Amino acid sequence: MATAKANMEKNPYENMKRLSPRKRAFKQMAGRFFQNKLAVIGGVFTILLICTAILAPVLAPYDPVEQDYAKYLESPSAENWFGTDEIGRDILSRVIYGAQVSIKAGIISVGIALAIGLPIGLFSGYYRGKLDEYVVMRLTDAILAFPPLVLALALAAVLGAGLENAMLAIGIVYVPTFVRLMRAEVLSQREREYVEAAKASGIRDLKIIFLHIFPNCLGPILVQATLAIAGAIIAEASLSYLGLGTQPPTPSWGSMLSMGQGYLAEAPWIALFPGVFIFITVLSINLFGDGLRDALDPKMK
Amino acid sequence: MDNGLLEVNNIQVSFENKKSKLTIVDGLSFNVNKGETLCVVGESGCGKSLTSLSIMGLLPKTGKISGGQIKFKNNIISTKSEREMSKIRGNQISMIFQEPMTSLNPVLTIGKQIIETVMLHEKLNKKEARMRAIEMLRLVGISSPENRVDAYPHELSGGMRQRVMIAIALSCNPELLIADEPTTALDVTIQAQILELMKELQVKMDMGIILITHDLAVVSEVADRILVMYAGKMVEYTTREKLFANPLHPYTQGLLNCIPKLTDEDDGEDLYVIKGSVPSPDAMPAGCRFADRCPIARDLCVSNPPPIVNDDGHEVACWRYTDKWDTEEGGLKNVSESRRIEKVPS
Repeated sequence: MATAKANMEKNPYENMKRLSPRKRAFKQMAGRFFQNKLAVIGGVFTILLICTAILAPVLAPYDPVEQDYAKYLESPSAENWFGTDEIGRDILSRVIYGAQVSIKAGIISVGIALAIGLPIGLFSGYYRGKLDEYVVMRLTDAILAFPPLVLALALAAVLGAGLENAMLAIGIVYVPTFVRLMRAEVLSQREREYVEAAKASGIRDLKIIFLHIFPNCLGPILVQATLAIAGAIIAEASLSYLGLGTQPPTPSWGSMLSMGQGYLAEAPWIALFPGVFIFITVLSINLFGDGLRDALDPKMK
Repeated sequence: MDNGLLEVNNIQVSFENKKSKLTIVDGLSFNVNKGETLCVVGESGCGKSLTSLSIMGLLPKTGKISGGQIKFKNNIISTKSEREMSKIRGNQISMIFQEPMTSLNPVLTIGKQIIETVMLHEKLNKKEARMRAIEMLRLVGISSPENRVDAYPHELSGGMRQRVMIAIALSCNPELLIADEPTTALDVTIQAQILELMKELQVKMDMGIILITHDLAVVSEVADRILVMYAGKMVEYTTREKLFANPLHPYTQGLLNCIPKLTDEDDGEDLYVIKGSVPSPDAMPAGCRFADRCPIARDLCVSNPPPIVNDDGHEVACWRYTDKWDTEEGGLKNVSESRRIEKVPS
């Protein structure tokens, strides 16, 4: 009884005082996220992967491009955990360094897509008008009409082979997705009463766009961005597999897969390990993204 | 001394596209003085909210003020540019919206939303603006405002959110407050508190208030003057005392009759209803817009729009109070009778 009374007398807003509002909201979101086991596993793997990429020089037992003709096509052993490839390079070291390329490709290409797509979607959705309807929407329609990988392939071929160009190509392919998503979100947000209320208190358009509408659209964008990173990693691997992405001897999972293809019968480990890592990475990021979506929007289930 | 604050002269609000033009608000005139509350009453869809949005200069893109003018402190504001209007909005004229649940930005703390408005219109630094925000929250009766200033809207109840809306609207000491059904989404006890609060603040700040509502109980509490609208037109405009003591227009009489009363005699009696419904704006009748539903309508009403009769400050738009009424045949008109029957669904 006594404790119950003490609890009641305690100011219910006491907790609020200690945490800043942003931290408090984040804490609630994190609480929901950590209830989702799969998402946590995905998150942990994603973080491990990023650490691997950053710490590659420390973690890799060998130089990824060092050739050792004495032990080519060796199967996994205590010395070379994942075996060696056709010119005697250590597969484990190459997989570890390959993570760098994949992570970089995923983040930068999605970054390009966000940097171009979000502002277009934001303004296009807020101001509507002819420019939005006839130029922006039709242009995104045109780009979306292509199969994404074919378009990325064509762009990469035009820009020239190489990781930078591959990332740019993938980024451009993702732009319309973000334009569309951002625009759709803005369209629904701009009709909300809080926007009208903000206008009624004299707040100008630009401030309404960036301070009021933009943060309210971020949830779906964040989720789509995580999923797009997974897609971009596959796209980079595909382009590298086809010889348009990372150039040899720099290791990338896609190009390793492509090399290993020729030795599938005698040395399956060359293709197996990069393949497994692509799979795990994409799965983890997808699980993480899904968990993020559920955590950000508790109403959706 | 000139006490006038807002003067609306014969305004028309219409929606236009290439093919057609719909006039929703037609020939409305009223004014609001300092420290005075004007209640605008009418059925849903009669143009109340559009009138207030046109004062704010916030009409939707397809709508515009197609006639008349709005003067605020003797300046015409109905023709001002968006840029000029945004200096007036929030600063001199504020608005409270109907839905406290959705009128606050869900991702910003309430403090931030008040601070934003304050800093927009006054030269205060962040710290001072925050102090002002806390002060405003205290003023509207929110307990421990130092803590709640950092709360997100979803952490507050409906009544509290509406208080926050009022705090935002009042944070720059506006001279005119437009409240568009500020209490409809709230329960009765909170409703009374909010209205009491608005009255209190009105006295403190000598503000003019336009209160848009369809709740006559609220009107009888707070109004100084009342404007009754029907289908985009003014039907009656007078002081509260005169309206409640002697409602002249049949529509106003109908509205007052619609309020259920608890008396011994009429238990079990049906509620009073005004039969029929508001005419659609693309098919407005030529004569009096209420003629279709009016119990005393005559031939004259169906074919001619009624003049505005001014009886010592009590304005009413009805043929009944003109000389012509007596020369007209009495009784219900056959035409309108048959029309009425057609319209009522079985």
